[in-house]
Amino acid sequence: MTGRPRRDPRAERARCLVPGGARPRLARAGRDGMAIAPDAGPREPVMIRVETPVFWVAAVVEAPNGRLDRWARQTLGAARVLAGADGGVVALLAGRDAGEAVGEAGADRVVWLDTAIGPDAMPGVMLAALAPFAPRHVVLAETPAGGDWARRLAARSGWPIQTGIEMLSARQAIRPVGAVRRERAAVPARVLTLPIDRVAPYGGTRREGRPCPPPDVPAMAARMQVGPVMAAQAAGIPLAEAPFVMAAGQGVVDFESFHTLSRLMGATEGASRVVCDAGLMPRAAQVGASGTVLDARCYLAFGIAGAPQHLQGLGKVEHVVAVNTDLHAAIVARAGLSIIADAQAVMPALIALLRGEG
Amino acid sequence: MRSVVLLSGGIDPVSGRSAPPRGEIAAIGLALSAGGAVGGLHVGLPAAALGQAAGHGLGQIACLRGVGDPVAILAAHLSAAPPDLVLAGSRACGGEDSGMLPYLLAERLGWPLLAGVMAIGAGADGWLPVTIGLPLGARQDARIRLPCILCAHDAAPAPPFVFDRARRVAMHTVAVADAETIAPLEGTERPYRARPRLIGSAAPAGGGRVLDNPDPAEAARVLLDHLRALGMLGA
Repeated sequence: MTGRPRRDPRAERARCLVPGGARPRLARAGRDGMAIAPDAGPREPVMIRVETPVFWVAAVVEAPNGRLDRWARQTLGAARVLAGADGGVVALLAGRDAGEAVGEAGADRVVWLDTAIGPDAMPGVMLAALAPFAPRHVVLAETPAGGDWARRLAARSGWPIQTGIEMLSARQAIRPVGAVRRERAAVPARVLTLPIDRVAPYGGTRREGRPCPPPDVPAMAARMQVGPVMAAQAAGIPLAEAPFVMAAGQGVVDFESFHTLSRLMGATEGASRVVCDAGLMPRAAQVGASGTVLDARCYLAFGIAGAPQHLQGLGKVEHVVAVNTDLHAAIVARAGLSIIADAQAVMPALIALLRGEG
Repeated sequence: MRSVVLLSGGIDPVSGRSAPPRGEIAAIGLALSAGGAVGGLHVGLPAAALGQAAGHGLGQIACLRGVGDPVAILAAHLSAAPPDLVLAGSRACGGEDSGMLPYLLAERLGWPLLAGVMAIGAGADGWLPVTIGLPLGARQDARIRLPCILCAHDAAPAPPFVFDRARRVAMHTVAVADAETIAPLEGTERPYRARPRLIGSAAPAGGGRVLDNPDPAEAARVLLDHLRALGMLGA
């Protein structure tokens, strides 16, 4: 016998148990045996407000549909990395108003830019919008439009630029040079462009995202006229590039409804291996390990169980929606919305609903 | 119409052997489709990649021999005898690869610039219609005032390679006045290290909503509402 008192694990566990919540939650960290205050219920939403930061960092964010995509959030995340604790982030929002999402993504101020002015006037408008903030850095996404604006801005202002940053911290930016065989590490330049999936989006407390007045458009000679964007027909987009893919599996027999629905929804058609083997869809439509790996935003699967080889083809798809008769199919575990029903019943109902809406 | 294609002596990113970048071959195709005289222009000594680029349809290439900022050398040469059209690739391959040269040149010459050009139409009244290629197969029509600089889209149609043309190309060196020196690059250069991309940013939404055996009309309504919330349907 030692003099040490015996432990009572059951009593310790009961003391650590946080009351409330559907699942038991234990708070052990250094508080064994101490009484824990009960949860005070849902907390007030917290927001960080910055009035006069030490310096500003700007991020140019594209939101053509009023939505911030992953790349846009990462651009704001990169601006937050450069701003650190002392700096503020101003977002130049090119496109439609994205509402509170810009503040959630890390912006303290938002200035709206009209993209209809065309690329030639863009650097002048950007410089006018940036002038009140005198930003230490301007971060842009290396998209076709963002990369173009960044180079126009750097050429007009004479600010040094670093393109295609693959690693970013407040003190160092690393970018590939020499045909991606060499890399150059340097202090971050005034203008930076960011490829996708290199810097994490901002994950901290929500920022204010206060709207600021848009800049005046400086008058300039009309040297070019840019027309509206003509979207490609969904059927004509290569499967690997398509943003919205609708796929048929073994559970689909009514292909007439499937083709009608894909036309109504403006989705590109895909298929599982079984369907392509049976000759019901062209081989080019096959999704999966031996077919095409998608880069879509949304994948709508009709009658697909989700074999591992098929799920490999969903690599980077953000949103999966499944219509399947089997509740225990693998695709149901991957899907954000699963409808356990026969595809032959759901497809005509969808067609009727879409046609009814005009 | 007289066109000039800007050529860089690039290397192939995989093999490391000298090869013209994809965008510059596309630029040669655009220049040929515009019609008229087409010439190549390079700052520096004749490089092996220039002959290969010429095989795609260039009869002659001028190599400007001068010391200093290539943008200043090009601007001085082009403003002495301005062509109607200057074409370039999206970016070089083997140097700094920033894609800044056409933009700096356009700013210095005061010419308009459009990037991502897929096709060129027939010019009239000093304006040139062009088609710009955007992601997901989208297209945009534009008109630009001549003279101008166009950067070709990497996916613009490339003219075929003819070995005989590459062999016969007339490459002449032009001695030009030295330009201002460029500031040395900041930072340190070292062999490339592949860094992993972020994963989990497109995290599988796993364990989402499940509707078990709903009425088809109800299922259709929920599905459309979900797709609308994701912004995948127009309305």
